[in-house]
Amino acid sequence: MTAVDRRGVIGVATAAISAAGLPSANAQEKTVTGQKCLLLGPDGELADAIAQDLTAAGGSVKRMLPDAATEDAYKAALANEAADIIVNLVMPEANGAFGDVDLPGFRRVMEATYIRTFLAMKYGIPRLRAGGGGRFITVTSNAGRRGASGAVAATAATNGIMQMTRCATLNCAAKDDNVRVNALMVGTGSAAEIASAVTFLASEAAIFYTGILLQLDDGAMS
Amino acid sequence: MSAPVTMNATAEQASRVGSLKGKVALLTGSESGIGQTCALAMSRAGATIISTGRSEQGGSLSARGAGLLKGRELEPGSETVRQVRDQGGTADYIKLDVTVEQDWIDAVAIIEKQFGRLDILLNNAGNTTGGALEDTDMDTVLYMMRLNIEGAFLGTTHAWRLLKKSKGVVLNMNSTAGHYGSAGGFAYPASKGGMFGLSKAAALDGKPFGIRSISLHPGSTWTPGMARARKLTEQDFVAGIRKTRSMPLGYPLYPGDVATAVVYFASDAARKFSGIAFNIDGGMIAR
Repeated sequence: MTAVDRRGVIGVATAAISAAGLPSANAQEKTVTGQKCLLLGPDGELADAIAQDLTAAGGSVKRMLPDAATEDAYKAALANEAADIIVNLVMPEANGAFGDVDLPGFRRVMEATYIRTFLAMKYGIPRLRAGGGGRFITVTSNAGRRGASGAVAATAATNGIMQMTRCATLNCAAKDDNVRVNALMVGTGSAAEIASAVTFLASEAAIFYTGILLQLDDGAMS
Repeated sequence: MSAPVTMNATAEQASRVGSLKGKVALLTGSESGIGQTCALAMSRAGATIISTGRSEQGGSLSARGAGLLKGRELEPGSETVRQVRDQGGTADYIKLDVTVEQDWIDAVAIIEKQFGRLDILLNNAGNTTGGALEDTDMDTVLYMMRLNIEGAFLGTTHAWRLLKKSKGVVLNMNSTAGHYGSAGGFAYPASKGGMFGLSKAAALDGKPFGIRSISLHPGSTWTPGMARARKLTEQDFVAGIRKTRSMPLGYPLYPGDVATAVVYFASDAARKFSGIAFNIDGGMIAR
């Protein structure tokens, strides 16, 4: 079974991500100086932009995508990783409406996003704790905010990811482990604009922020 | 006792999350507390600061009347102006009561004449009251409405023309009370709920003009003013949050944490953010 949509950001549910964009304003400032950033997600323009922005802001970035959405794969991949910031990049594909999507198609999106988020949290957050704390930032689609037509699986997956983010926030806060858990819910924006928001959530000044589901949608939800 | 430094952002750290170079910012409630820290952070990020308050200050623009530039050498009576200038920034003060429409008209006219532009409006002035529903009278409801809702309405309305030109942003200082009710407090959450609606409406109406509107929702934030109002020492405030976990993180919130969001969302890098509620509440919203 295909574990992840290798198309990266193309075909993102409800999201219109364009190549054009501003160079990140905060990349000029070293807001993540010395932070070890682990970018979990498929290669593509968005991963490139996030890695570039975090690097420009002073972080060191390692990119990886565990081979499969399985416990073994994530456990093995993350066992020895040291990280201060984990970016969990799980943009879903929009693969159809009810009536069009079969279970394998539904499962493919769920594995690539929902299951991978669970695994990244389960095996990634302990790595942040091991270093005394850190930031876990999920980047996904805003489909789950309201529902998106033609994207059953993406809507289910991303709304579930929102709740996982809230649960992980509360788990970490209760442990006083200095781990912050936030998610960027993308509806629209260039790769550079998305990357800028990730760097904002990763910045030293965002130390208090946790449990935030940050909506990047040019006002669409208002 | 101060909170561990690593748990909160300073104004200097906040200033580095975005660039506000060349932008002119009008702030209300900026002579103390959260507003003052926002002014200092925004200034460090490059913005020209127009601080406002209800008192007539010795060095204020409005005090000098239509002459504007006359008397620029006067020592500013505004504490925020003094602090911004001390750190090398540009700032002025205009007397403005957010509930008085003419004050807004005058302030915007002064800013247009003096600076020729307005890029950022921070509707920060506000206040809170206690009292359960059955103990709340009409005067209290009207006071909260005028200050927290109409104040933001008047500011947004009168700044609109200049914000259209600059494709500017309105930042509305809301509260966790904009999402949650509280037993024993009726009029304040009611007004903050209304203010959130106003912020979303501004996002929709502003979109054709490139005007953005962002609602910021901090939890209980340590400021000297809050300390006076609640007769709390900082130590007691910190201990209370540690104990009750009113914010799940269990750490107090300081003005720099709010200023961080203000700087980022006011910057051009955040130009696709509008109509949102940004919660600065140590995970309260997750619960």
